[in-house]
Amino acid sequence: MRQLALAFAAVVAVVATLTPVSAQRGRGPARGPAGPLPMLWDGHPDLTGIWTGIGFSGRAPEILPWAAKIIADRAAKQGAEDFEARCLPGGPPRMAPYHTALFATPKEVVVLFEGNTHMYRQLFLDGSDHPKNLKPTFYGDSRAHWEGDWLVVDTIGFYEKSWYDFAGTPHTKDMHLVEKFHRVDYGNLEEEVTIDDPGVFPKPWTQRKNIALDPAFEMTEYVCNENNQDPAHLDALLKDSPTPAPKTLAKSGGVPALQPRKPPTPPSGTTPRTHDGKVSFEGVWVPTTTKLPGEPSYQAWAKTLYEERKANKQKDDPERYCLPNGAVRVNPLPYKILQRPDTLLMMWEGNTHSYRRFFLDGRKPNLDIEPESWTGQATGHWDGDTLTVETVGFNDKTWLDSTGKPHSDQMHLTERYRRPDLGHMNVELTIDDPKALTKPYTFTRTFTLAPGWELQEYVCQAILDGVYDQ
Amino acid sequence: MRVNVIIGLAIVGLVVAAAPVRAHHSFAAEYDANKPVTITGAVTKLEWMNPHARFYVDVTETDGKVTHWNFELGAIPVLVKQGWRRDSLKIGDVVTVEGSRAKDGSTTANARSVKLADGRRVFAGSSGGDAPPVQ
Repeated sequence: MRQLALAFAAVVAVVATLTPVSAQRGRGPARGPAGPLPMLWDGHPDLTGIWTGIGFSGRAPEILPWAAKIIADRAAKQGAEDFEARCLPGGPPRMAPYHTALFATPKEVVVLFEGNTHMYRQLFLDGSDHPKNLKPTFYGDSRAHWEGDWLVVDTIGFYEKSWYDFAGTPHTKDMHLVEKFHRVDYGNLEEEVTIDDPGVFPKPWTQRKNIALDPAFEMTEYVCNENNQDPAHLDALLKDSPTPAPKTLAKSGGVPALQPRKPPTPPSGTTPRTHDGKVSFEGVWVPTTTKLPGEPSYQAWAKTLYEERKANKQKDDPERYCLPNGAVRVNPLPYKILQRPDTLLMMWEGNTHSYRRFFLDGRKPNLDIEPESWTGQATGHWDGDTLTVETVGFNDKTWLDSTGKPHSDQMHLTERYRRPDLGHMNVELTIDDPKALTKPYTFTRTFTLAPGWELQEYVCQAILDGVYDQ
Repeated sequence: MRVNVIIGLAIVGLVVAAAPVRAHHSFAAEYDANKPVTITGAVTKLEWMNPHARFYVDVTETDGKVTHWNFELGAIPVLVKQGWRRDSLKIGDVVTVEGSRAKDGSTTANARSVKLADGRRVFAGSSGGDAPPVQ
């Protein structure tokens, strides 16, 4: 009897260990490493980290008949119409495949996706409300605020046709998401999402989960459309279905060239500083001038390749096929920088609607994990008020500019960022690439601040596939 | 060095194989789990790219005819976590691949495991059986 009681006590003890208070709220006891809760410099919990598993794909307890029929139809086609297989965003609350990170600052938290699209989602935390007359987007418009230790994110303005879960549950343009995030300690995050969409569900419903900090070294640059052979197989299976096959621009020269918007006059003022006294590069920036000192001094093979691209009238421009412009070439649409003491995040609106991170935490590039990528691996350090960023680990597929200047996979890029005043950012770029260049190539680029501007969602693949036209 | 990597692959593969990996497309839409294939041949090309790494194998039939097979592996982030690297498979390596054939009848398949020339069998990051996934 005593043995039984001991055994029972042991079982209770084990169960208690497996079910900490934090795990009782969510669905499962995901347990990340313990440790003190990191705090942001404004006194709120710092949500930054790799939190693979953010998002949901659960089934609602109740669903209206028309929506249930759509799910059944899509299931009968085995999900062959799923946007995700076509390198289009899943959109919240769907869990993105591979790794997902949060990048937190006091005024904005960004969700960074490794896949399915290597894009970002901005959660504005500046007290602003949803803009009026929202244009529907894959990721919606997200405004966040703190309720105690919980970050509460309110999202509306969804593009109706996206697949926000694996089952293909439809949604209406009136879908309203409330996501809540609570970092419990160093290694554990609680997430809760409530979906309210009266056109689909009789009543709002809520999903909860616990997410452990992911020990992944970092997120790689996942370029979904680089070698996506799936649509051809999927379309073959859908040929008898009433769903129209994607109209493709791929054979007619790709997406239209990106057109600049006229930026506002940059404000005057002194160089802003961060809470810890560094130059702040934060803001929405428009590239204005790039001063080139003539043509790069190319090795023979690179010169031949460059001449071929020019003779071809840039017919194979990666940008027109939604492939990344890399770290050197800019597009005319705005860029945005958010800054933490350990990392700068640079996001861009156009081209791949993606991001670079400049790690200032002393790490080295991990070329074992990711020997090459389109935008490389960037690490930085401060030289007084200049931020110096070194980037390596490139492939040789990007163009240095729209004319098709080539480079090799040995390229070493050095960027020196300066902000001489409030309204301007100057970058001096040096390309050291002995395999392609006989000597390093240095030039400067100027950005002007665009107050009041924000990055708009641009999903190149959706334009290339004619998704919006269907 | 390469031997160590392969041993690592095998061990990790055993652990991970139990849990299907989230992929960017429905396995069942493209591949037929009831059409298993086992193909032995020499690797002719490796595409270390997303959304899936792929490799190509030439198989010489008894009548001398050569068939080209296109094998889908997992996404690179998944493969890397399992210990794969860009040079884990090399052109000319003779491998035996177990997988599921494409529904469209082409010589395309989702690779579940790859048996290397030295006899070791490694998991291939397959998303097999993930529709609908448990999330």
